[in-house]
Amino acid sequence: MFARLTRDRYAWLLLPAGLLILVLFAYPVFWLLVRSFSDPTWGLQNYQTVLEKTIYLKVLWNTVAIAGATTIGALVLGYPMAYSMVHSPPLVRKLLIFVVLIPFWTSILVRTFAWMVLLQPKGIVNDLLIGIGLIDTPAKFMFNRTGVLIGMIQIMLPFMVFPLYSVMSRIDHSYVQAAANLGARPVKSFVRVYLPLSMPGVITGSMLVFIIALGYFITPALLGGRKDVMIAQLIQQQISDFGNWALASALAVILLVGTGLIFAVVFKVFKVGPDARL
Amino acid sequence: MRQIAFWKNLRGLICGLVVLYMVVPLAIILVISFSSAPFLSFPPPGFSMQWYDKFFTDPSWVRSLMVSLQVMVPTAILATLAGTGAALALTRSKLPAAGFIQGLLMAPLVVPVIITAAAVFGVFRIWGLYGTIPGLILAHTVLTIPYVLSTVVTALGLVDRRLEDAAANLGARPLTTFRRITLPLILPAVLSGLLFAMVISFDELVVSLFISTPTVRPVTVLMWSNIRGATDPTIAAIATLLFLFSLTALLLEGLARRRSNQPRVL
Amino acid sequence: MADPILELKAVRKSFGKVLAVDDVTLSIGTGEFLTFLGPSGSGKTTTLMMVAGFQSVTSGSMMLDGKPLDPLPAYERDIGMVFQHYALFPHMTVTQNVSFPLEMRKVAKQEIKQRVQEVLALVGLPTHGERFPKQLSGGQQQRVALARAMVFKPRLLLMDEPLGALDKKLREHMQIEIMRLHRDLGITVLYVTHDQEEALVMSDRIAVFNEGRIEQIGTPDDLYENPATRFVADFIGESNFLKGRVTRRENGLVRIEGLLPLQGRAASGLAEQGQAVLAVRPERLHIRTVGASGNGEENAVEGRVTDIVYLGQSRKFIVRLADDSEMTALVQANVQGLESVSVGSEVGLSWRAEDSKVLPDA
Repeated sequence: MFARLTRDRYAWLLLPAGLLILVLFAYPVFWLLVRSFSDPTWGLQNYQTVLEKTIYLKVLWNTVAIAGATTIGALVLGYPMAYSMVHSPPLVRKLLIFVVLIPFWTSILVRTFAWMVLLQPKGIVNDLLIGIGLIDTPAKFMFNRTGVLIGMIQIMLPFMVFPLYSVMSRIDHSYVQAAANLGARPVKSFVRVYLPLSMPGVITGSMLVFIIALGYFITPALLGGRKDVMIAQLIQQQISDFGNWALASALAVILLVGTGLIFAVVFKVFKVGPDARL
Repeated sequence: MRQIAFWKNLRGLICGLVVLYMVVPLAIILVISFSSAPFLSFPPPGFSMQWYDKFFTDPSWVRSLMVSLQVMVPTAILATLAGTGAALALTRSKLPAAGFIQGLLMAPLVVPVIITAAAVFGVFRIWGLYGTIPGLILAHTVLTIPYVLSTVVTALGLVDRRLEDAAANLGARPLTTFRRITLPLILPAVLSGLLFAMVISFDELVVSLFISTPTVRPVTVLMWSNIRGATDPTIAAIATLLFLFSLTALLLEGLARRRSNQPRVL
Repeated sequence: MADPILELKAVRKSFGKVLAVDDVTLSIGTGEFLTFLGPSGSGKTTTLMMVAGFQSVTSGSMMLDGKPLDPLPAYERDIGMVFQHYALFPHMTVTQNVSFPLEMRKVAKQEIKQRVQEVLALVGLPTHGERFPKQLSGGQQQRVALARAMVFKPRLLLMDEPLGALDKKLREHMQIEIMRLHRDLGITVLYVTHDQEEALVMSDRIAVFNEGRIEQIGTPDDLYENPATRFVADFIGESNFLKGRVTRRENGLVRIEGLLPLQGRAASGLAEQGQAVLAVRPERLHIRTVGASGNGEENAVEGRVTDIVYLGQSRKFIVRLADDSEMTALVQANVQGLESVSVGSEVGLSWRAEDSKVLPDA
């Protein structure tokens, strides 16, 4: 078999990419993973540290909470968007698709910075709210959970909308007609027929958003406050500020395992996989 | 019927708000980048190109721009060559566990960037690649190979194998078949992958943050350092340029795909 | 008719400038099986959709049991419907699908269970309740769709080309099933199809649609023996057409002059003068070899056989006339005296005036 492989000229083309990924990605990640068990000595002491110190546990909790809230926010906003995309005339649909894609094409740094400008005490959001008369003094949107969520939901929205759109556009119109014909009022028809049929999209989108949000760094770092530190920031801080590779690597493993577990669970339970979307 | 109208209006309202939510922040940045005032106020008092000017004349910005460009181009080329090669290997030869190999090559997309960043940083320090342009190139290449790979694999899937068989039957040797038949057919996807890689490299922050130093750092890292203390619209100008660059590249990419009738995002 | 269930008066539907349904007027009586028959785009499905409530009416009125149908949204019309591709909810079992309309009507759980069992037994699927639609064959899905549409005992049952997706044998079997259910339960059915054979087999009356208008409504026998227009004569069964100019009328028979003088019964819409076309069914033609004695039938033409098609229980003779037009004669296998007729033979075709109809030349 190996002999056949060496004669198979196409197989050789795999080498550059394979080598690059193995040497510059697989090995470093493996190195990091091992380090979590071996620094300073072999054992699970790093994990113990994480699970014992409340500040670290808090960060883990924050991460899940923020990722969860982002997922819910993206779902609430994304579902009507996807629905409208499916049920609109072609021109409106193209516009909506474009609007959801734009942030997708823009670097996260740019988008997060845009929110910093908007949400600052002297920013236009506050100016607008004061101008309308809703509030008297500038509200705090930055360096707190609100700011982080506002930024992250916007960035994650495409990851929710596109799986939803993909599933919704395949729902046959005749199911909705049948439901109406059988006596279901619009709300009942939606709850009993349309929503269940759109579930695969909801699950895929939610899983995607949640997983990506878990590992997020840029947005919470710029828009969040002390109470909103997520695991990625903690990892960066431990390495850059304290050189604490032991802890950082353990945290990295936790993040990786968590991400992997969610993938596996969702895949198994709901039999839904991430679409090849890009 | 009234019930239906209510929900329709509510949905329309939410969509309208979402549209604003997605677009307004970027629009604001665009406008502020042309502000004549040295602070981030909206609406800006007047029009000026000074911040764009500053970006291209201020030495630290110019240096970072050079680094970005010096990294972006080789990364794109490397990633495209490696990714295309891998795509060909995976689709055209009978490799055992092809699915697993493809999964492995796509892994940089799936693994949270922070982990990749920390891992690469740790290892680069040991290998002396920390704070070097080749280091940045190698790291970026690894990050962008998955994009090229998936794009080209899809394109190859659409090329009818029988075309290549026909070429062979007509007397073409494998390399010729590739050059004259396969390559032209997948070229739009390859170029698309190239553009994708360029954009991603230029926009990349997290990994670059770890493996850059004050002397060798791309635009995004310098932006990051400045952003918290940002009081003038220079960053807005850079952000706008970044945005326009990505947009142009991706529109070009869409055009290239459109011309070849291949599945595309829009 | 006494107390029609459904009445349509001058119903029109336009999409922008396109008039899809033009002036449709008809009534369906209690227990009647009425079929909308026509080619695609003839307006039959659009009309059905208006009755179901999925399309709005541009002008005209629709009444169900004497009450206006128009202002009611689809989910309040209480009309049963079997969709073309069944539209069985894929995420619900057969039982859940069939229970659905009863749940919408807030029927008690126990009663739902009982009625669902009854109707599933009626369509021959008593043990399939826990299966999902995708686990069923096409024919079974069809029957579940029927069950679901009938379980709430609607006054009217709509069927939108329900047998289109089935293969021939299954289709024929289902046609008989549906007819049996119709007869046993006495439901009123509005059936849409483009298959004229199906329409002839199943219907009490047929409304033939063409380009948005109804060309003729009548019993299958009516439409077959007395088509009112050329379109109907051509769409239902096969017809031979011979053109001519109207010359004389007497005793309900009309004489036209074309290639030859011919006579036939006048269609009601026929003008006193002008161009007309005579239609005669292939099975009404008698063939004889040239030279053989005639049989006293009023209409006779001569021509040359260009083709003989063997159909098992019958044979088709394609005969080319002097003006290069063709006629088809259908002859039963057991008819004697045609052994010498082969391709190229000169033959005579004759038929009675009564067996042909003179129609306006559309």
